[in-house]
Amino acid sequence: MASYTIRRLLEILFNLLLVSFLSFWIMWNTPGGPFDETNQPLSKEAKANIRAKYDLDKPFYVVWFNYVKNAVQGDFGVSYQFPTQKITSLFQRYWINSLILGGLSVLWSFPVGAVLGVVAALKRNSWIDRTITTVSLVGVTMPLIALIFVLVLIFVIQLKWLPWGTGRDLMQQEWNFLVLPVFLFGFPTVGSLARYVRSGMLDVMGQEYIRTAKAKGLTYAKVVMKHAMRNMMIPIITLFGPTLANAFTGSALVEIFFLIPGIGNFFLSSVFRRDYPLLMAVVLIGSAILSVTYLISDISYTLIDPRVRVGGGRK
Amino acid sequence: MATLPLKPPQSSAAAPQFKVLTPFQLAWRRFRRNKMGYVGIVIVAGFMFISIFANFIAPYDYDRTNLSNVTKQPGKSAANILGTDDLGRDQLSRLIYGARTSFIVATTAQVVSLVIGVVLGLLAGWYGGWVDFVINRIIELVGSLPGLLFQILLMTLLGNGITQVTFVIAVLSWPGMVRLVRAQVLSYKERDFVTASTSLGASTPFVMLRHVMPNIINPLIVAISFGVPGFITAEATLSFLGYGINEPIPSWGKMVGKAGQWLASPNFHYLMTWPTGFLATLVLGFAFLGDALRDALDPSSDRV
Repeated sequence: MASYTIRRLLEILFNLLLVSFLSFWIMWNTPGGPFDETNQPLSKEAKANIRAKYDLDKPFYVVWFNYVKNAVQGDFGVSYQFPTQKITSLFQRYWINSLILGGLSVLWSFPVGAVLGVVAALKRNSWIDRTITTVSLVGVTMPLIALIFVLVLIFVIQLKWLPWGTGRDLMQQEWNFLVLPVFLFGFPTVGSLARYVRSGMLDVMGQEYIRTAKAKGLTYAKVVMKHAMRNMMIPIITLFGPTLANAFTGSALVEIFFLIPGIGNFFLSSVFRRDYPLLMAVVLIGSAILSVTYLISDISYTLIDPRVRVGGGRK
Repeated sequence: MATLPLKPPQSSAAAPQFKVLTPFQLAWRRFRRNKMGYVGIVIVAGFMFISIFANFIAPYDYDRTNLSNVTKQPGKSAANILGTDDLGRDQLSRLIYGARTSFIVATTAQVVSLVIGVVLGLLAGWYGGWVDFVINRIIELVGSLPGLLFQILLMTLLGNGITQVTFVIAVLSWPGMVRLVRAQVLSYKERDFVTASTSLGASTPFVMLRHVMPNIINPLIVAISFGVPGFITAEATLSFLGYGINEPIPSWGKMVGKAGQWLASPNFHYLMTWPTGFLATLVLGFAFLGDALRDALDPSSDRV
């Protein structure tokens, strides 16, 4: 297990190196630049000075290498938009909003999704099952922009039950503002989790050890809770990683629509301003978190289910 | 001959009659159990029809502006049934051509993703070893990129346009397809019929196309029926954010995004509700179709 973890960590590091190269290359070749001269034309010397300050006059691979060298030490450079601040301190400010949004969404969507999946499986082919599967299908496939628009139209614009975003930090806003963003961010997770749990549950309930458990006289509740539930952990773990990583990068769509100053929203405004150091940092950290959560879920599989072997172990 | 124990029944009238069903008929029988599948087929076929014959159905060109007739409310004039947008373009025509945009982008992206997925999946599953290792590293690279954010970065590099959007959403979408094909190949390559074919001297491409591929067609069809709506959504999302289709080509996502600035004024809501409705209907149609197809084509699926 230890050697497997180490090998995976090395692979993740190598992967991050590739990600940094790829995103760096994209930004290096993107037309337009951070220093707009339409309003304030610069003299040649001043421009050369700025380019030298930000290393933009050196060849691509040198700048990339320097960047990686600094990033390894936790220094992601200075944002072009806010030259007085380190990227890391900017992150702390925007991150918290994405984390609140993502964390609350995980908190409601995982229990609800799992319970809906179990209920649908236990009441198989009933109207309850059909309702849950249809709703979860909608949750999985419905474009978020359509969902956001419809709900905002109904609850914010028409009924005026919920307030509209003010663009301030989430801690400073009214609590009921969070209802719609948290619901929308979690809804797709509820859908996919309910579907996974349902089919996993149906699979388990047909197994012989469940029949054995029933035969030895266990109550229905005990059979479900003790014997079937453990297998339900697998889809939950599978979805937990990506959802957690999503909570970091933030659902950019939800944040934009509700004017939440989170990472996703910040990323989009930085794309517009060609703030390369910031974009790099978001892509790299997002990618790192996603890779690590995948690793954690792979390891958790083996802890939960001894039949799962990692690293190509022999039987 | 008379001693043969296995004799066909003498009179066909006495023996119970079994109608032999082809796999297709069996699948169709399972498909029909899911009523939502019908709804899905009707929706998808309908949208396909209007996107193919958009030139004949749409009352106007999608880019015909009329600045003396802007933001006409729907239902107010017979000339523009669904009203006009801020440049006086007929909304109905733009919605119809928008279906064409969605289909072109989504099907092209799906074909690209399918080709990459099948080729890499076959290679990784069949050859294993370092081929598998390299392909897995690429999958990990693409899979670890933060999806929407990275798509936006790519779009800023390439610029807006229909080809660029298609490329960007296709190029990040194939890892799931590779995993699917690879897993199927792994489960089939040790089977006896494959070994038999190989020992009879069949070449690897022949075995793959003749013996492996037919077995993985069904899961692929299901994956495609869920993939296409995913691409439609991805295109709409990018266009909504302003990193997608360029003007004047209509795209539902862009129509919603452009009208989003007037969210606070109910008079302009028709500019958002209609494209949203079209988008949601088509995507849900695909989803219902895909669900029914899964029931029909994948006998191991849980819905009996």
